[in-house]
Amino acid sequence: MQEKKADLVVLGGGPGGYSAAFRAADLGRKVTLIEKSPVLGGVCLNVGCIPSKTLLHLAEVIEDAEKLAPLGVSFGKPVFDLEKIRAHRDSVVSTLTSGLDSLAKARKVERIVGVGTFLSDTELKVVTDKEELKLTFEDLIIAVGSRSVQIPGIPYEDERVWDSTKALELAYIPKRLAIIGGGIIGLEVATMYHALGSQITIIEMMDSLIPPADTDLKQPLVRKLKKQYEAIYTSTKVEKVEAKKDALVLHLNGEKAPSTIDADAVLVAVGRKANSDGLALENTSIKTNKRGWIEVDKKLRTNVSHVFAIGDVVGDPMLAHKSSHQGKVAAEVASGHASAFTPMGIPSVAYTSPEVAWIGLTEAEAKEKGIAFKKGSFPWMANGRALSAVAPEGVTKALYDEKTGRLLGAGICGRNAGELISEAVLALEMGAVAQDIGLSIHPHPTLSETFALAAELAEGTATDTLNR
Amino acid sequence: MAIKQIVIPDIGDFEDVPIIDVYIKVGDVIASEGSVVALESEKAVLDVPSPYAGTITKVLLKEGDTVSKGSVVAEIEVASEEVEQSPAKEPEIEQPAEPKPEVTSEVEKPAAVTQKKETPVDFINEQAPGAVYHATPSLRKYARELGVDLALVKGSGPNGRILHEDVQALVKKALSGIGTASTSFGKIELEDFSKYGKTERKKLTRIQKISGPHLQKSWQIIPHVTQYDEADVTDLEELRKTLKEEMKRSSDPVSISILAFIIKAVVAALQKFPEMNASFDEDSGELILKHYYHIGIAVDTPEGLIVPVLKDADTKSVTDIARELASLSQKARERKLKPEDLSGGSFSISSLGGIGGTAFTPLINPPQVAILGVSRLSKKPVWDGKEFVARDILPFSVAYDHRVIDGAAGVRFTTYLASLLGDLRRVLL
Repeated sequence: MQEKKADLVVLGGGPGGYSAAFRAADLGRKVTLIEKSPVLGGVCLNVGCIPSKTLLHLAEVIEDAEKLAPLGVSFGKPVFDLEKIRAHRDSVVSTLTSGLDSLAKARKVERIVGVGTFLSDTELKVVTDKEELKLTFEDLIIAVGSRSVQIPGIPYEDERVWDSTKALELAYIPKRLAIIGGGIIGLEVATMYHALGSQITIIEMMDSLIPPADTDLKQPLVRKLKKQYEAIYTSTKVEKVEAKKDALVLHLNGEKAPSTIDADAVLVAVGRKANSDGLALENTSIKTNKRGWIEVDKKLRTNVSHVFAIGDVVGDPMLAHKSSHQGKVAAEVASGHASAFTPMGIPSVAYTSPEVAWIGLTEAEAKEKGIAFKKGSFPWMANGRALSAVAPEGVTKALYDEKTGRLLGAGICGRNAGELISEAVLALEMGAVAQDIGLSIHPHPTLSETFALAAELAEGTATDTLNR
Repeated sequence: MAIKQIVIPDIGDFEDVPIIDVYIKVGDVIASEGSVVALESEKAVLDVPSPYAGTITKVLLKEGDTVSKGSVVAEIEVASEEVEQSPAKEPEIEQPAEPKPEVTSEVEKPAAVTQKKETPVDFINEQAPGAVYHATPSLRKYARELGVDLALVKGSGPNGRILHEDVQALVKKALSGIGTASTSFGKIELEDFSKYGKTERKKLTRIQKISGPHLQKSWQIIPHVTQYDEADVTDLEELRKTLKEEMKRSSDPVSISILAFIIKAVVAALQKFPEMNASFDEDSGELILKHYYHIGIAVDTPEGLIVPVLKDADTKSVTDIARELASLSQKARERKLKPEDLSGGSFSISSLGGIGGTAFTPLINPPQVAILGVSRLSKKPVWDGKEFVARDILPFSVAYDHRVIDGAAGVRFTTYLASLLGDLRRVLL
């Protein structure tokens, strides 16, 4: 086995890994980036966020076009050329990945296409197509991400059983698509296939869809989905899935659910599992918790001080924007800077129709923690821009500290909620109080106004609606 | 019968005070409230009483040991009924508090060179909802880089938000404190004296340690002006000698020093110049005039300088004052002064005349605003208009706080005092 020495190694080339590698290189480190795929960007860029958003954009336009028919503008029934759609999706992805390639090259990041596993706290075995390497490193950042969780009783070998990656392949449009898991991933896939004509059934084990979001926040979405979809079974477990020739038969266990339903395809989206098990951590002193999440401190150091871990492999929330921020912090700490990962909130976004986004404390969390708050909640029915855009389904809510008025958390459900939430992110990190937000002049008519109006409602100074 | 412990009671803010005397030994029978040990604290001696009556079975401390609240002095065997009878002061047996590490500045100093992986100060500065401080992400990063714990920073921005300037101000303050040692006034750099010759080290007495910073504070904060003058005390000396003769035949003799007369004259001068018998409130910009005349007398003791206070000097006769002076000096030398003997002075006198000197600059004893220094009395030729005559001349000086007393007032005071000492009948005016 060939032996090599490395300065700073990044294991994994997803959004966290490449951010860490690039930042470390900019700080003067000699960086080796190990990624099993020949392209950078990881799940997010290749088989996650980016392809899903490309397809969801189509879904949005299709739905918008349909909405115009009763208003006097008809386009006729859409015709899908799946081959062209897939090509468009791939071109978006390759534009971004080739961009990363040139950024890596310009930064003189050494790339190894292969799989790295630990031999000790200071050595890595790297297996590539051609060779096996023993790499001794000064610092290492683990950014190996996560994968879909598999639950028992499901014939994964069947072509009709999908994970999110398979769903985004867009091989065909099933007539009946059953989705196990009513979280963000399940609902995004539901949104895109519904627009493409599939009948959607959602089975969720918890008592509501998108469990972490507040009930009143996701209510506009849930009400709409209940109308659009075949069925939504909450508090329901899938006991097993039988692969029959003409259909997949799902055996359900839930009070309001039938004992079986048939489907032409099944998406399993019940969560993600950290990829720490493939690292041979048993050869190191690096600790993980019961769920396999690598334990790190605020500086993203593992218990081995020159080994860092970031992103999905350190646990929830498993989001690309968390990983990329953590990647930069880890690179800075490894390079001797006084950095730490201490955000006041990490925004979550479901790119459904309407979208749901939130940041900071949810109302349920605030109540659980006993934090006294005042709340402003503005319904989009009263917003001119939402009505003009035929998007009245929505609400903007925000929680403020009862004493200081400081923003504690915010949630937006509605068109472009994922874009609108950024104002709340900034307000939260800057320590804005309700008055700061209400007194900042927001353009009219916009959807963004609703964030200021929610602040005015909390202050009792709103005029566009009655102050309650 | 039961064994009880005698512990040091709450003696105020004092810690680690030395025991200067142990009055008990094993087998002694003592009464409740009987003294067991004497402590030296803040220049005064405190007797520690026993809360119980009984027989001492064990003495756990000896002279020279240092004690704090809760230190166990001795064990005493008490009658069981005695235990029940003394519920009022059941002493809590408490370990003396751990000595606090000395904090020289509010912020840890960042190391000059930040080495890779060795971040010397690790303030994460996380801001949770409802956090005690309020700072934006860039500020949190800035503070981390400087090693500033944001919990220590007072925010001056809107809603108490910590601004970059607030962090800078704290760091500047901390940096300006670097290099200070035992006092906040800086210190004198020492050399290696062994290259010049032999040396030895002598510890400062406890009194010197306590009075040192007090004197330094006085010297650094108060702008001192010293006015020198002399008084013709020939007539006063005549009177004193006459009285001395009379005292020989008295049933209750007392030695009347010239200091007793000086005190009487000073009180009369202070009554005429009340701003000399005052304190300065810098915060309000006001002078606090005292309507009492408690005169501190600097006394030289083997342990150092002590200033017992002669209370209500305006109501006392010269002989009363002389008697009290004798008793205070003796107590001072025997280290038996109590805290109340040392507090409340409104003006001080430092008399070095018994030793020598023609003039000196005394340091004001804050929060007072003036002090009288008295030097050695001597015969001097004085021109009486026709010829030189030998007169008893007493040189003295008054140092005053120039922030509140101007030069003209200072010299009027010394002139008046000299005239009183020259003809003590004027005190009656």
